Amino acid sequence: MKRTTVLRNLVVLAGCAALICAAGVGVSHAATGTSTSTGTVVQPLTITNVVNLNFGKFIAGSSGGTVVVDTANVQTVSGGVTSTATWAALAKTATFTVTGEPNATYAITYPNTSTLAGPGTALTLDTFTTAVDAGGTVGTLPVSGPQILSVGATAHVAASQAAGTYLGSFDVTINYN
Amino acid sequence: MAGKNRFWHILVATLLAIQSALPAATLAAPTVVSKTQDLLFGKFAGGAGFSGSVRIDPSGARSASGAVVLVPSTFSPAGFSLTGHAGMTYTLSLPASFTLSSGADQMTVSDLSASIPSSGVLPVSGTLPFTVGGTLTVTGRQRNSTYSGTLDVTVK
Repeated sequence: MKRTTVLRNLVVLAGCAALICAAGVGVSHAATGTSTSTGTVVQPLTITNVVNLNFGKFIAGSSGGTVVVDTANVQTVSGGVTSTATWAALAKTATFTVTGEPNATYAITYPNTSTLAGPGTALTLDTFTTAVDAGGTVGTLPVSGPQILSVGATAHVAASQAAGTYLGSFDVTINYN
Repeated sequence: MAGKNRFWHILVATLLAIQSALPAATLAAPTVVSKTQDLLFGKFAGGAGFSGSVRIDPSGARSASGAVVLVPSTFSPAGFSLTGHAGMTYTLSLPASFTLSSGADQMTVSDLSASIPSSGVLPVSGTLPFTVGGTLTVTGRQRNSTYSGTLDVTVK
């Protein structure tokens, strides 16, 4: 009699053990998925104007013409516009300091046109040109340090343009690409 | 004594029945969550006084806030595939946040969201693909580097 009781109890225990096993399988019902996540922080691009663009002095003629300042402070006149060596020497290329992620590439955006306002009809500015100092190329930052961006442009002068100083501004925008 | 014996027999029989029924159901279609795609925030300009955040939506759209500027690069939401038996009710758990690290430097990803509801029923196919996005916070003193971490999602 005692023997059979033990046996029954064993069966009950086995049943319970099996249930615990089943419960174990039930817990592993929860599943986890793992994804890798990355993000890369790069140095922000900055551009700072150092020297303003200056077309120097020139004389408007009876016909219209242009004044060009290239990326090396050189003034060139055409059409009815004339100048002298002294006046040309006043011309200055605009310069900007660009900083950002070493070796990164970027795009430069200029306005299609801009204007210089003064005593007479506004001068139209267009055909922006770009050069950089040693280290890196236009659109690519150097391995280290900032890059100096030089910007030239063309000013359109009307026939018999009123004498005086003409002023304006233009935006140079740079973006990583 | 005879009554007690009958009780034990019924109890054991019941337990065995439950035991044999349970694993049969669970083993037939175990729930599996497999990763199909990593959560990539891509490249962005930040740090050096530029703080803000980068958000990847479950739809895959990327956006930035604050002074952080997105830089063209590859980005994607995390992709997972939930497999189980058709008609199974699931509950999806996303962490409140997790960390991306680069050496001692860290960034936090929070506001995690999924393309599927947090609970629902598995379709007839038994497979439910879903994506997970989140918002990465970039501080103004974030060092330039690639940060990485792991996102764990749990399904019951």
